[in-house]
Amino acid sequence: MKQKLSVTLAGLAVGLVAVCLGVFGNPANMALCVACFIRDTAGSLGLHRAETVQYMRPEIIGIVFGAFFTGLAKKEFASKGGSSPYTRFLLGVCVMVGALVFLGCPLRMVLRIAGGDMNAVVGLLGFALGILTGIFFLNKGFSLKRSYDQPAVEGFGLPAANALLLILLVASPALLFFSANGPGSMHAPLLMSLAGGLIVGAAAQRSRLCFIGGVRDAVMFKDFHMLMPFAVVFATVLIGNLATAKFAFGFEGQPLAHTEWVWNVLGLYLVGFGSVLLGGCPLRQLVLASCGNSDAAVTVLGFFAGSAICHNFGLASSGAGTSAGGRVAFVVCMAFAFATATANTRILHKAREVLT
Amino acid sequence: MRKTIDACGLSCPEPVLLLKQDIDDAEEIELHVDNQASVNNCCRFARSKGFCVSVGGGGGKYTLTLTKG
Repeated sequence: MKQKLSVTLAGLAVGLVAVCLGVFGNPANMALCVACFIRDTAGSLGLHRAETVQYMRPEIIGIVFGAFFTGLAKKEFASKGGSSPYTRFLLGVCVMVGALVFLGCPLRMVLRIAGGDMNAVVGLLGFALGILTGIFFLNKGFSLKRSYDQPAVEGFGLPAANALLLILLVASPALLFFSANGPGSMHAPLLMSLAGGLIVGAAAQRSRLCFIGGVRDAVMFKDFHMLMPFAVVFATVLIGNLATAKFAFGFEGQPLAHTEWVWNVLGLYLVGFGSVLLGGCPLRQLVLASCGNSDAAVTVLGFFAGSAICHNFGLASSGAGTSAGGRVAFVVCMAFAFATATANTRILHKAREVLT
Repeated sequence: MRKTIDACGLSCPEPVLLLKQDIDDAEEIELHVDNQASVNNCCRFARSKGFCVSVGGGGGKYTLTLTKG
């Protein structure tokens, strides 16, 4: 009961923060998106030069600090790592490629649905199928193996890097790239974004909020409690959009979205599948990384690298649709995700033991 | 039958999966996990299967004792 209340309140907090940030300047239906905001941050650091998506998003820094300080206060911060870090890095790249084919992480998918964007409803189908595929491999014994205790510096790495990013943003913004137009130029005031991120980070840390966990646990264990934040975020943002006249139902003309339904399904399929293999959605990875999990930190670096690759090589989709390069990258990433899933199942390990 | 499961260092949801494999033919299970999320998930699952749960330890090392109740 206590856990159900916790995830419900976390969903409410995330929904309210998204509504507020949307009202105060963040892009429409993109008030909070871990994938897009990491992509914007990568752009502000010059890791890619797509001029319309460059901004050091304080929300990401806030989420990291919110989870970090909550983890410390609750004595849940622990430096852990060593569970297939390189594989996790590459899966992080794959998840980002999927997210930028669809144009959003699972959190943004919910925000888009709540904004009336039916392309995201189509994408939800792919997301669920991707999670089911991941569950198939989990049931076959998929594992990226154990993590172990690590030196403290390993766990403090990501929060420390974000402290540096905040210092750069406040004290020396001239060193960073900022979009003059496009979604990167749309943002809520810095302090509000930072505060919103802090709230989301703290709430997600306490509730273990995870957007794949809901479907996964419902299917695998008949445990439905993590579906609650999905519904609460949707309801909160829907009410907020209706109240602020931002709700627009339909497929065409949706903000920062395309109508290629096959690729909306496939993009989120890869996000769902990859996230199950990683053990959590992009938001959950960010929160785990902030609480000392260096495997999750490596995954977040994979998100950064993936977004830089996508925008340096024109792989990311746009409002006009997917790109040829993006479709090729999707196929490569999908092949890698399936190969990784197969190579790490217990059945294959048993077969190997029999052979040797 | 009493069983011991070491789920330390495993990603979500592997601790619950390991528990699920053994829970049907065990009277008592000692489960070791190393994070609070796994404690919560395993407790919820064990209770849904009719087990009484007691949690010991802390500071990143938890022992859950599950008894069929």
